[in-house]
Amino acid sequence: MKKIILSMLILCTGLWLFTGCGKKETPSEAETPSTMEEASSEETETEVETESGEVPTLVVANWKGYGADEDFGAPRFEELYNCKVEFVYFNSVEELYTMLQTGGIGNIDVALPSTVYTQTFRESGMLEPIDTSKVPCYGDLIEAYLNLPEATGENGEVYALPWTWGTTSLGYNPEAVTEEVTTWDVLYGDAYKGKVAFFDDYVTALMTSAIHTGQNPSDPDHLDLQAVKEDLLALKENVCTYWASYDDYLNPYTSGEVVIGNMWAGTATQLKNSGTPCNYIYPVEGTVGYVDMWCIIKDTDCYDLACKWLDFMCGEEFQYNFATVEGNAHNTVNNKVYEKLTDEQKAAVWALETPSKVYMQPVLTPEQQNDWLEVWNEVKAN
Amino acid sequence: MKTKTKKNSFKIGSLWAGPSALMLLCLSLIPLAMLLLFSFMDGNITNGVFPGWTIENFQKMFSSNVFSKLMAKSLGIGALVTVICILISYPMAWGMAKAAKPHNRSMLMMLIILPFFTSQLLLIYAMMMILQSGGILMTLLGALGITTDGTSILYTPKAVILVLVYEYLPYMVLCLYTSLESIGDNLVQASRVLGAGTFRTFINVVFPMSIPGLLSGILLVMVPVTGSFAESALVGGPNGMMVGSLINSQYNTVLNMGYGASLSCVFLIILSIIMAVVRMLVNLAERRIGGETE
Repeated sequence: MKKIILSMLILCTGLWLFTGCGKKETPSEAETPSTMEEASSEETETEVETESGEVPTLVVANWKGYGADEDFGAPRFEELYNCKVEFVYFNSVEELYTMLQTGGIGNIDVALPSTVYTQTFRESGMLEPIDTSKVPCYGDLIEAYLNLPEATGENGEVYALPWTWGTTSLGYNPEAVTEEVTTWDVLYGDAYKGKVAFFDDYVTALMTSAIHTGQNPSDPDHLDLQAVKEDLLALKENVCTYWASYDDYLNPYTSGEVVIGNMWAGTATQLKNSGTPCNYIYPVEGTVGYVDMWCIIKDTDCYDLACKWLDFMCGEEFQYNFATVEGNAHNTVNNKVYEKLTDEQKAAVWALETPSKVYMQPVLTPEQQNDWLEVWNEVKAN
Repeated sequence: MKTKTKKNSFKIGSLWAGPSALMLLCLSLIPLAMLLLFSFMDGNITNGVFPGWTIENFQKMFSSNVFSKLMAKSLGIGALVTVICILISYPMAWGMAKAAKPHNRSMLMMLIILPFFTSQLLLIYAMMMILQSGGILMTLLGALGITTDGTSILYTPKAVILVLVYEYLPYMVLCLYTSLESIGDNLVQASRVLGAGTFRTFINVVFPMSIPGLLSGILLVMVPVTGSFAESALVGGPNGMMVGSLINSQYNTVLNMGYGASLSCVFLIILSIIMAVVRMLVNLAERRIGGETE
């Protein structure tokens, strides 16, 4: 009898263990699926709904709180096209890449990598070419951001549409920094020793240093990494903290521990809107820029709806709201919208004065990525 | 007949161990074997294509001084935090186990484990608010004339140590409390009666009997502290990088799974050796102090 009870117990424990291991929770809409398996379980449910006559669902991969999930974003799109938008959030483009590699292709319909990763995605065969005839706003987009080599295929196919652009330039507190700031040199002197914040991103860090040492950061094949390393080590003497997020910057800046450093234009906007004095300038040597682009992911089963999403995201209505939303405005890529903006609205996103030299993040080979990261790690470990 | 019963109980015992052995296999041994295999992988698996084998990951690690510098720094921080935790935890745990009234013990225990109810990141941010310029601590120190206005220890190695001690102290206290509570009061009393002072009683009676708890505490504090990276990244300033950040950057920044795995493997081996040495030294000390001979 004892043996029977014991065997039953072991059997139950084993079953519990296996069912526990295999069980996938379906995240709620507000939750971020941590793996693609979770995201795919959402999608499976959606497909069942679609077959039973429900509205179609578009799965969008994006950063959380980055425009598309605002009230004037996905909810408005759902209203216009009688569909449902589901978000899959990522915290870095590398995470998006891994997500797509581990089951995202065929489940995610559209995604938002930055320029530098668009080529990697395209070359890895993760993207569908965009039929621009299905994107009526295509002709309204600012030409400088169209046909970027990263987003263009060998036969001229368009693989990504620009959505917004920005810079990681020089920001400072005018109450603490009273001199006129025009160059990156200001970070290197003794005047602000221990009061500098610098972006903890190896690509931006090396690019900024390359600009300061008079090199072209968009040409990674001819970059003198030793000179860049020495420059970054000299800068480290003055650095108070390396920042990686908005909060990392806002806290020391508002408490006065940091008064100057490279920052995202969005950080400067947030600081200014919160009543903290902040100036954001484009140094004469040049500045680092990026373009965020929408792509259609390979094997999507709602290609036309994905094209409509791209048209909506880059179209006049969304772009105007995105460029003028209070406290969190972004640069527009739509000509019609740019013309509509007042000087005050342009100044709010630091676009009244355009930078004379913007260096876009270059496409790095895996070897170059490792070399650049090694330099950055050596600087931080020194 | 007796042999048969023994055999049966052995079989039943093995069956009981089955589920936990399976869990150990799935969650510990297989991942470790995968880590070891991946450490010889040349880069990352892309589009399901295996990149091939290499020993370059290890060559790169030992030829660059980044890993050795960060490993030494992380071990130093790990050891320092562990020592500070031990020094603070002994009197705390003794007070809870022996001095506090039994009905107050549960409340004290609750206070010790209270920080576990919130996320680790929130604890770090809470400490940042206290340590930052204009925060409670720096304002208080400024008012007492110890520091000048606008200064703070945030973004320095001191802040990293402080935050790590704050986070990991409960583990050490709980481990030592369990050991100290089991020491009979009559043993301590006997030591006193035989003429030993407080210090000698601690060294010859209390310390040897608390070794199991101390070893668990060292394991629970030193290992995660050495591998931590969030604390140093957030409050450590420009010199805040630890070996955990280096490993993290290989996975999260450049997707170099092979190099990340090789760094993790060597880190794991070094830490295992150090823990084995610590265990050996503490056991040796126990035998010497306790008067036992090998």
